[in-house]
Amino acid sequence: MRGNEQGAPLATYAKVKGAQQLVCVDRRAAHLGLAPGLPLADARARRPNLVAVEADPAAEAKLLARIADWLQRFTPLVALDGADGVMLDIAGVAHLFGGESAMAQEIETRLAAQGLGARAGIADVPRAAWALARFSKERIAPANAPAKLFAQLYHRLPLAALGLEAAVVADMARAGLSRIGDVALRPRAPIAARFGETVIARLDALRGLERSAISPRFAAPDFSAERRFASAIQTREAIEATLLRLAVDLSVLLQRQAKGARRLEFALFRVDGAVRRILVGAGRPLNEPRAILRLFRERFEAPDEDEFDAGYGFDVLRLSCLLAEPLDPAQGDFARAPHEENKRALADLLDRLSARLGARRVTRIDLVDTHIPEFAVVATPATLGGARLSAALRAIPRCAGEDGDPSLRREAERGRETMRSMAEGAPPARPLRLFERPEPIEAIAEVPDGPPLRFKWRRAIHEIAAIEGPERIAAEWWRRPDGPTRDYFRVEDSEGRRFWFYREGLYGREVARAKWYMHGLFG
Amino acid sequence: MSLDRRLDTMAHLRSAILRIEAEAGPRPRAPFRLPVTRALDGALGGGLAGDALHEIAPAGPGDGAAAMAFALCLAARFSAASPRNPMTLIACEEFCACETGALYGPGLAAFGLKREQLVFVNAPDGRALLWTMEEALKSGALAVVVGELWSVAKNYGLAASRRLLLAARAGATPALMVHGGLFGQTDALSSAAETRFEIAAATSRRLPPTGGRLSLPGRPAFAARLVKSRLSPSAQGPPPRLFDETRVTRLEWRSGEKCFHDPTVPLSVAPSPVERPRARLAGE
Repeated sequence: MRGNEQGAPLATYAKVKGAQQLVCVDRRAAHLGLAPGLPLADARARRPNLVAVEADPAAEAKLLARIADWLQRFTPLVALDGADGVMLDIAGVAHLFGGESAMAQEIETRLAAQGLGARAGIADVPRAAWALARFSKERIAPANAPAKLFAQLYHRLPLAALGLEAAVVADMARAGLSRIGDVALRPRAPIAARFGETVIARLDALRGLERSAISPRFAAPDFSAERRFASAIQTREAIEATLLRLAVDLSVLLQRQAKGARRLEFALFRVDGAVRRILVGAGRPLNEPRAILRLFRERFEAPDEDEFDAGYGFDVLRLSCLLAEPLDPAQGDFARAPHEENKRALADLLDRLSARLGARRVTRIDLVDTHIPEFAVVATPATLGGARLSAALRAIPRCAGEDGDPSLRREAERGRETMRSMAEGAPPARPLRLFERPEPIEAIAEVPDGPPLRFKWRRAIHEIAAIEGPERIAAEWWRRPDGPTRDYFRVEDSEGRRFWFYREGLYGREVARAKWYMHGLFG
Repeated sequence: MSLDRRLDTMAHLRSAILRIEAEAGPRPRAPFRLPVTRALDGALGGGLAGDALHEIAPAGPGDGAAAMAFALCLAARFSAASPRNPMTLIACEEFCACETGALYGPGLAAFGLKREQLVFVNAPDGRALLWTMEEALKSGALAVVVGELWSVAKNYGLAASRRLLLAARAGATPALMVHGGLFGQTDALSSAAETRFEIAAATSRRLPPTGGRLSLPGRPAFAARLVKSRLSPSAQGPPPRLFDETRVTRLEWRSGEKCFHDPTVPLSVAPSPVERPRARLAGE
């Protein structure tokens, strides 16, 4: 909780069983004898200058996530731990910061500089570190502690340090068990029988008998490069220059394994704790530093990207490759086919467009096997390259005979051929433009289930001069049993404009009065 | 201002333009020209230049779909004329999709454009659209770049079109700019484009009725008016008297053959694509 050194004690409260209780207190309030669980009225009576704020769990969670992000500057493996803690895996990292105690010190000072009070604990297993950070004066457990040292460290701690539920702790207190030592030195079976298996399991976890891993917020990247600065850098030029050097480092790492980056992340750690992550994707495996820099530059200049808010500057910059793919061996100038060159230029162009505008905006289309017009196409990001057809597309049931009986397949093939030859000479059966939402129109027909004579769309009346239809498209009964049938008409008005609209619902059978919708426009 | 000083200013400006032109580089050679249809090719100097900006504007508020369709016809022809490099990029401003519907895959296929050869860009605003087109043109990796701009009055003018023209020249790629949100001002707009068409929907050649009273709508048809044709000095075109901006030509699109209905102009008159200048790609 954010502490204010000189001001009044601060606490947050929440409604617990209908009464307002303190849930969290700052250091100053704790000194004055206020503790979580105290009714708010009592606390106010004791300390009239208490500043009490209603707890906001959502905002707290957000802040904790931000802190966890910021802690990534120390190790890539960072996990959230409950509502009030962050777990770092610092195996093999601590020496970079001058040892474990120096590292814990640095984390605490840096968080304090941001106005955040924190306690660090370091141990071999997560459960032990959790207990040390919250309940112990000792903060660092030496690696592979012998049994005697273990007893010294943990036996004096209260049972709550096992992370047990309050009710269980209260039960055990009634039985005269209040410290971890009381349980650890007793036979296991009776304890397990009386207070549940959890107590024993937690004790084993504390001892490190059962290995548990943390689940980090972000997977550790395979390749990454970073630069730390004693004094923070602020300008775009300095950031770009650093990015280029990082890209060089990264491409050396990638080159060693003959790989190229398909997805890259550039993380900027601001001095005051904010972390900015910029992601870019590439259509082909990249390992040229200049190309990587160019992609990020597009992102810096993207219209939806807010101004580069450097604040007091960034002191750690990290470039990670989140997805690497084997690189096709590069051909020399000797056999540079213009065809290959074109493909490469196109891939680069699509990468740049996707980086600037977002991958959703640069697409190719795939057809889907369905008769419902609006679902017959899907747009897939163009940068996905070869892996374009998603699993969802393949899951769609194929036409009869597509896979199976060869005679049926031949039949289907022939049908498709005829359709194609018909399509060659005939006017297009599908419109050039399709409205995302069909627009309601008013149409006048001679008979309720006959073709219309004129219609009114966007406040203009169109006289129908030529019409083809209906083309009946039934709803997919295997998905939605009672969807209305559509009768599509291709019409041309007296001025030569061509439209595609439909009547929804079969007159007399499905609906009493059919509605008409404009669905598309022909060229 | 006296006449002398005015002449001086003009000379000064001319030399400045020449300098800028020299920086941009001259056209390497006479550009590839794509024949459109016999009725228009005369005024176009043999066809649409393969390294320039062409504008297509709807004639009336309901002709937006027809203008885009005409642009796609030209794109299909450009793409077919460049078999080695047939990719087409279609960039639309986001608002166009809301107003006139989004381009629809099966409909494009019926129009003669191959799905595998299309890339779509959905630009959030006019500036992003112009940037996209410029980048795409400069890359030289595409057969043709089509853009549909809604906010013409706000974002498009002499400078913007000049940038596109230079990019088209640098990448030896034709640019087709469709003015989605502008109609009725085709003659007033000033831009650096080489040609400008005004397109209206035209009554199709109807097919005989199959059962009902009314006949069936036929193939896509347009009424095209060539409003502007600025032949560059290097083009060995016919004299400009063939150009008549009041004449309206009726065009009918045949998606199978990828040509307008005009039996005298086959598609294959295009020169071999190997000859196409690729200034940027060659790197020389």
